[in-house]
Amino acid sequence: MTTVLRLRRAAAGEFVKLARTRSLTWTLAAGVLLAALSALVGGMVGQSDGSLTSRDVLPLGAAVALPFATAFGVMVFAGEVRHGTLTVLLAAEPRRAVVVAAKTVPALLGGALMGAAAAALSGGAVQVTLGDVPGALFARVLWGSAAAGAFLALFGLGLAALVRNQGAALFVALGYQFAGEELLRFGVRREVADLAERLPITLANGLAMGDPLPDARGIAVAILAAWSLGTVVVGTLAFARRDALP
Amino acid sequence: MSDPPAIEFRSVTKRFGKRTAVDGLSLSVAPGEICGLLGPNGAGKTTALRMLLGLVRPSAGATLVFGRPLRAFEQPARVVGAVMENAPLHPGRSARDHLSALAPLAGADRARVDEVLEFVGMADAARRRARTYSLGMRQRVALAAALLGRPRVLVLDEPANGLDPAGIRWLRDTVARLAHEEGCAVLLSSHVLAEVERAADSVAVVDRGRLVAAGPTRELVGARQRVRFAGPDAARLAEALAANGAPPHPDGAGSDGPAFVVEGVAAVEVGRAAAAIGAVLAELREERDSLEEVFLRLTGGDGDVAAATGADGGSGAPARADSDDRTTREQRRLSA
Repeated sequence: MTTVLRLRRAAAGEFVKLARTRSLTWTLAAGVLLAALSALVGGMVGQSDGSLTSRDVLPLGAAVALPFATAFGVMVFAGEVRHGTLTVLLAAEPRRAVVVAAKTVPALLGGALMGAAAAALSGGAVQVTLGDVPGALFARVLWGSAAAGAFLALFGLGLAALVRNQGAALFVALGYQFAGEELLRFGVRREVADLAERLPITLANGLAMGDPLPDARGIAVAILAAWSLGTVVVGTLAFARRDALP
Repeated sequence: MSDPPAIEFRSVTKRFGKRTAVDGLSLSVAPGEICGLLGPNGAGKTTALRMLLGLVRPSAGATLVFGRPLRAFEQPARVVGAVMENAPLHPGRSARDHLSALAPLAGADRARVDEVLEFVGMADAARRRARTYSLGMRQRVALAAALLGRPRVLVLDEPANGLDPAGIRWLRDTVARLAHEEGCAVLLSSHVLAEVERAADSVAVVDRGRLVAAGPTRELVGARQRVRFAGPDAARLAEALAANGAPPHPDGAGSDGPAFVVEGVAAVEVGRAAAAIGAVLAELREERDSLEEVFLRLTGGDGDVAAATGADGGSGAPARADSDDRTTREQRRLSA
């Protein structure tokens, strides 16, 4: 019970930070705006030369926002390290696991909201330019983006707890997002190809774009959640063992 | 069974690889006591404070607050308030935002946030972003954050950094009031030795990670009391004192004649001796080492620690040769 109370108190403080830290809110807003802009431009191109349909453009718009979810998750933790405020927080709540757990709540919520908003605005932009947005695809993209945004933010948070330095954590997280899994898949044997399809970024992109997945979508979300939570657990264990030095 | 001290370092050691930052530190601070933690740069002060706050894990020993590790308290921010070195703040958040984010952990409501901002004189600037604050303003915000939960223990790491003279005086008065009127135990590290001398009830000096002296401030600075006298008959008085077993040393020229310094004799005794021989003096005053002089002697390695602290009965043991036994004795003195 005490741990739950401590967690609630710490999470309440994290929501205040989320609401009042511009760098965090601007990161989320940038993801949403870029997704909408991408969908708008894609829609206009499709409108002018007919090379793209709403089925092509809608998923791309939503997927563009995902790296911002990862960056957001990194900044929720590493921003505190960068500005030295993590030590102030730890002096008020010395239990490291509570501190990290409290940060997962706004990270999940912020990532989910950003993913959903990016998908919704992308859908709107496609509807305006190309019209005829398929309802089933839009629904898949909408909740898939929300789930992908939430768990990629969590993935970023876990990496930040592991790496701590904000610049290094962003480099690792975004480097992995853009190139890591492609490199991992490069030249893999057929026997492990199925496993490669279940890596976190591949799953997140598939969910956000409404693509066919190797498993049922619910299972895909569960696998992505397991990757993210696993990263957070590893990050928390590493964080708990380290000293908080200036 | 007596109440546990508000703050206790119990044979705490911290090693970073091969380097020992804190070596067997034992120290305790009672409720209502202000203890100044002094030491040269790299002596281990900040590491010691961070171990108390749970930010750094000791390699050996334990740090306790009212007999328990800080993390064992249900709401640690209501027990210990801390001002970290350089008062870190997020540059994009205002003082009010910073405090509002910490308020749930300290069990503080919005009214309490306003109250502490007002208390530290930051109410007018509370909505400005921290990137516009001076270091002194950041220190005030950090103190406000430390006070949010009305803690019974304050840990202040260089709290006077960046404060102007009026701010330093305000800080001293505030800390004194919190300690002496509200019973708050205060452990503060500072490089402003004159302020520590004025504010602290007790002082602990660490050097290269080891406690080299600890005790009430008055005892520490008064351990080498001496009397300086000068005047036309000063030389005659010096001879009389020497004949009584307290030989003075020449100390340059004073007003209207030579000057001498004698140790181990009170000023009133020197005055009586002068009266007895009818000596005319132009100057007679008692002198004590300042905390700065004590500190430099202790940490410079050229002094007699035992004489300064009285801990070893004047045996003249060098500061660096102190043992855990001695540390324990000093700790007992502080606890007492």
